[in-house]
Amino acid sequence: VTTVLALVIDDSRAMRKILARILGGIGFEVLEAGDGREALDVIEAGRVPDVCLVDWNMPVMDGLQFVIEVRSRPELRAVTLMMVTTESEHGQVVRALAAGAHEYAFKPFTADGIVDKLTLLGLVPSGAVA
Amino acid sequence: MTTSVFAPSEGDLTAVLTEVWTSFLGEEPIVLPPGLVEIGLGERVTALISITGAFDGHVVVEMAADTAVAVAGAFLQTDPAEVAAADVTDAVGELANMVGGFVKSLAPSPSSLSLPVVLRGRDSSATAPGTVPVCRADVLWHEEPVAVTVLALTPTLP
Repeated sequence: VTTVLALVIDDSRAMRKILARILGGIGFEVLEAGDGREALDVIEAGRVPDVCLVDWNMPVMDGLQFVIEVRSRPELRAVTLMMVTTESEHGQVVRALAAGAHEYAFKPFTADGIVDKLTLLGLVPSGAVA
Repeated sequence: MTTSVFAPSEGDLTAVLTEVWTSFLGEEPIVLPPGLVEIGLGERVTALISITGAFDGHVVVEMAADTAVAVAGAFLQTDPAEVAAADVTDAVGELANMVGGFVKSLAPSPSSLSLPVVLRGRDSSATAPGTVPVCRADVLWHEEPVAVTVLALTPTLP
């Protein structure tokens, strides 16, 4: 069984920890980054994730910039991008999806809500959810 | 001609506070009438997040410092005794971010949300020159008050 590698990108350590706990609970291996630039550093160091959970408002490189950057790199085509953000207006959702995000979750979220979206993306192995 | 300033309702604010607190702190807060219970005069933690654009203003989340430590402990699911000052700043800032994001979603668009600023100190209540409070909500969590105020920039007079 191949473990799903997730990269949680959020400037809040508390939020990263909560998301890491949710993902760890369904068997994902989890890496963390505090902004888009740090996330690119992780990827460029050779840890290419299966899925990134991306906050929008972050210092240095925000989530939308990160999505655009990842989508500009053909070698990262297989990486699934899911925004997890307080940016909930329709226009912002459209901007993120148009830039190449696959899914969008609003803060505040529930653990079930995050797992449901990952399941819809086909990333949660059957039997992983209790 | 009168200039109207956007203001969320107290119900909007208490709804998002309840959702955030329940989702991340595991316990529904008790909603209080605004101003019924004031935060004590001791050290407090204040998080401020700004909204700019079609609406200009700030969302301010305030609580006593001890309450902020308990909030951070609940957020991180950690014993409050093991919570560092940076964890408190991070957790309270993220709570303000979620409340601010909700207020922005109700405000005229396009508007942008800043990163949160968190202050800690005695009587460190945030004041923003040129603004007026347009909405306030208070909740009680672990028997301690948490206040959220929305400040709107007052239109410049000619």
